[in-house]
Amino acid sequence: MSSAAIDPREDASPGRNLAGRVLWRAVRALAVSFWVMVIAFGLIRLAPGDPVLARLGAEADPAAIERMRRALRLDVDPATQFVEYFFGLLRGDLGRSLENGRDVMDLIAQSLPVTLWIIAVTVVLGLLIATPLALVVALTRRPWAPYVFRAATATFLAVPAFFTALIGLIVFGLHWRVAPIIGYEPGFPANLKYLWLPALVICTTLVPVLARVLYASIVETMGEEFVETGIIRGVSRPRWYWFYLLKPSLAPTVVLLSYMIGVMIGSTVIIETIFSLPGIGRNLVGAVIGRDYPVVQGIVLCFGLFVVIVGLIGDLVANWLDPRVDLA
Amino acid sequence: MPVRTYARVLLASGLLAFAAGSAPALAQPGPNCTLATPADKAECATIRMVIGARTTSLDPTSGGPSTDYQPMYVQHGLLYRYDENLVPRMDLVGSETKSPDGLTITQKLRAGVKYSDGSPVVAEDAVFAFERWKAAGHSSAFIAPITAARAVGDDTIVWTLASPYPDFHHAIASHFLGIHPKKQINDKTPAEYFKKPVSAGPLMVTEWTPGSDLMVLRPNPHYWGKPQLQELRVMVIPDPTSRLLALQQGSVDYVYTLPLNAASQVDARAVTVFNHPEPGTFMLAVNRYDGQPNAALRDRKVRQAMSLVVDRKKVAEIGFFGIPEPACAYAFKPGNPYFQCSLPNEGRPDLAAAKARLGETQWANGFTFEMIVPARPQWAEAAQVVAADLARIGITANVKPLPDAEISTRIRARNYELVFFRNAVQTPILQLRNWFFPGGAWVINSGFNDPAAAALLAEAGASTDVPKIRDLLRRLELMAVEDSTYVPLTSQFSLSGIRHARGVIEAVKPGEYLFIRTNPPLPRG
Repeated sequence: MSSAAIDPREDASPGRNLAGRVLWRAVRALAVSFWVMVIAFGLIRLAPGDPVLARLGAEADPAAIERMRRALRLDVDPATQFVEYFFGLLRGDLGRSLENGRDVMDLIAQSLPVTLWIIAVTVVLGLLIATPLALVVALTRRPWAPYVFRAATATFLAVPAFFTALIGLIVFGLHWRVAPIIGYEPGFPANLKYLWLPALVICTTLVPVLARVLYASIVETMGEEFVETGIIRGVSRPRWYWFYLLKPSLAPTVVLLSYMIGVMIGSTVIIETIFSLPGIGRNLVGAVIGRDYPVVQGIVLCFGLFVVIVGLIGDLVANWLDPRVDLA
Repeated sequence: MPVRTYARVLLASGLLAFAAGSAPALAQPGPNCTLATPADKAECATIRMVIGARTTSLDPTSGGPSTDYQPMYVQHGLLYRYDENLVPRMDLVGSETKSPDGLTITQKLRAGVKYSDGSPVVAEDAVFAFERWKAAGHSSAFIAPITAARAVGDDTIVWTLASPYPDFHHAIASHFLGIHPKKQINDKTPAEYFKKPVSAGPLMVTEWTPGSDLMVLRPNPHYWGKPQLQELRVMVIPDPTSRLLALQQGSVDYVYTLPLNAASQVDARAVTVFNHPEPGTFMLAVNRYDGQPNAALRDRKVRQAMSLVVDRKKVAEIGFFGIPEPACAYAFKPGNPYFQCSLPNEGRPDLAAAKARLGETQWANGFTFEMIVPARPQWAEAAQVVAADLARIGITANVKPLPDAEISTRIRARNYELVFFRNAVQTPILQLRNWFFPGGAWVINSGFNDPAAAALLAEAGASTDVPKIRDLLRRLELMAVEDSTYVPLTSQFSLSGIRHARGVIEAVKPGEYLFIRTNPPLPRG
């Protein structure tokens, strides 16, 4: 991060027209969501595979296939389906699952909290590990430390999450028996029993990325004059760590984290399947396999909205940490 | 230095997480339900069973995936119910008579049969179930010979058949004929009723939301037999490896469709891993429709050469870990009274004969085609073994694994050259009808058309004379070998694992019907 020689303790102006910029971002978010919805609608229909045959199989009776196609309104042309879907969406109706007839909104409302909990636990765990790690490596005087750090983070990044998940299940679930392999209890803190291992697994890819970016930022910040000024002024250690070192270094990490959260919601698809967690990612897998159009559309739209909102929050936090981050 | 503090906090968090997770609920099998307990002596408390996909509907006519059938089957009222060996036994039926010409079957319900809510099961409910099945159009070949069903009073059902029907009891033991109260379904809507249906089967649903991960079933207090388990918790683990790990850990008791190497992975003192032979056959099916672009596959002798060169034992051993049996006939073997080997050399490969047969065609130097295969565990590997065998006579098979939805669509659109698949139905005649009788699923899929084969099947399907049926089916199989539109490979199977007495609960025709042992048991004979 290229910090100018400013004192970060100064309460920099949050920027004029902040509300206007946030509003503008919200409008852009809506536009993005619309296109996400259009793309989701189109892509799932372009994917090879018929939802009725996915349900009934290759050995189904032709009459039963036709009957189900009519019952699910898959016999009408895609343009009509889109118009019906779009106007339904305006009324807050995401449709019903072709597979089990459940309201897609209900389905999302039931499974999204599980996924959000996985992400929340992962982010907290990730920050708890990545921040001190980056700090220690940046501050250490041992010359080999950065090399070991880079090698270790590269190694973790190279290992796919599903493999780490299986190793985690075997080690923590089977051998040490400290993690359940199946089940989920909603509600904090009971859910932590089921979430800590999945979160730890996702952290094996999140922490290396966060720690490396934060490490680079801290090293850059340490070259700034105000860091030494803090020491000369004799500010307390905790204060120095936060105001002089971490706060000016965190903005890129926060922006990256908001991006990583978007990526993470995708990786929860694998994690939820392996850990049998009833999250939205698993619903998406089932819906894609079964070509359950309304569920796929609803979840992808939800993912899109989530990524846009998290991006906006990330930018706001980064702007608070470093007012030079442009919200527009 | 706050790093030390961080380290302490991390350590404390780790310890907390360990403490929180260190009490996984271990199996509570009940007072008399261990691996060593004979099934008929076992009394099990809760059994936690794992299936691979969420149950989407309990409506027998919903046409949902076969993974729905298992939890569905144990809570449906059924006139006949499959036992653990896939033999249909009287369940709600107390007695049955057949007219001398075999065209009228009269069934009397057991005295006093009730649903789980205490309301009586009446004959009209069975007729209603039959009508719903007929209207839904699923597996219509099963009920094609049944022309009518009518209720006579509250306890008698009269079935009228178009011809004698040896598979009649199999047809009515199907989950499609799940009996539920007509009045309650009509008072609500089927969708609403089947969210929490009453039961005339051994178990009833006490907790379930469509599409959720858990279904809890308990014994139906009004069922005529007492299940040998007190609670069945049906859970979902989509990943096969995670299913195996959960079984090894002891957090579940019964799992079917385990990874095929499961036997070597588990502690045999705690878990029994076993194979369910299924009524089905893995096979290759050639697209015989005119639009199929590969001319070589249209040549009967080419198909015969392919069948001759395939090493079925190798497919079973390498592709499927030695669990299934190599096929020596089209029809499945387990429990099939008409079974007899029909493939040349009992299905063993004959390279010289295959080369000679191919040499009689214009494709003596080989050709290339695409073999599509569902991307299910080990199917593509088995297809690769077949491809390696075909390469020995110069035929190049490009194996292409595809998701189920895409495979089904391509097959129905006739957009394939050859597919690696299976044909599974619970009776041999129906399985052969699938392949060779007009309207059969694989006849529709492959374009097979041979009136002589259809005539043999029609005659076999209307006969009750076992030697005659055997002879007719042997002739049919020889015709099929000659035609080789389908190339049978191995038997079908599924691998299960259980931590308790085997046989208290059993996946019959795995993935579809679930058997629950009761006391008294389903009547034999």
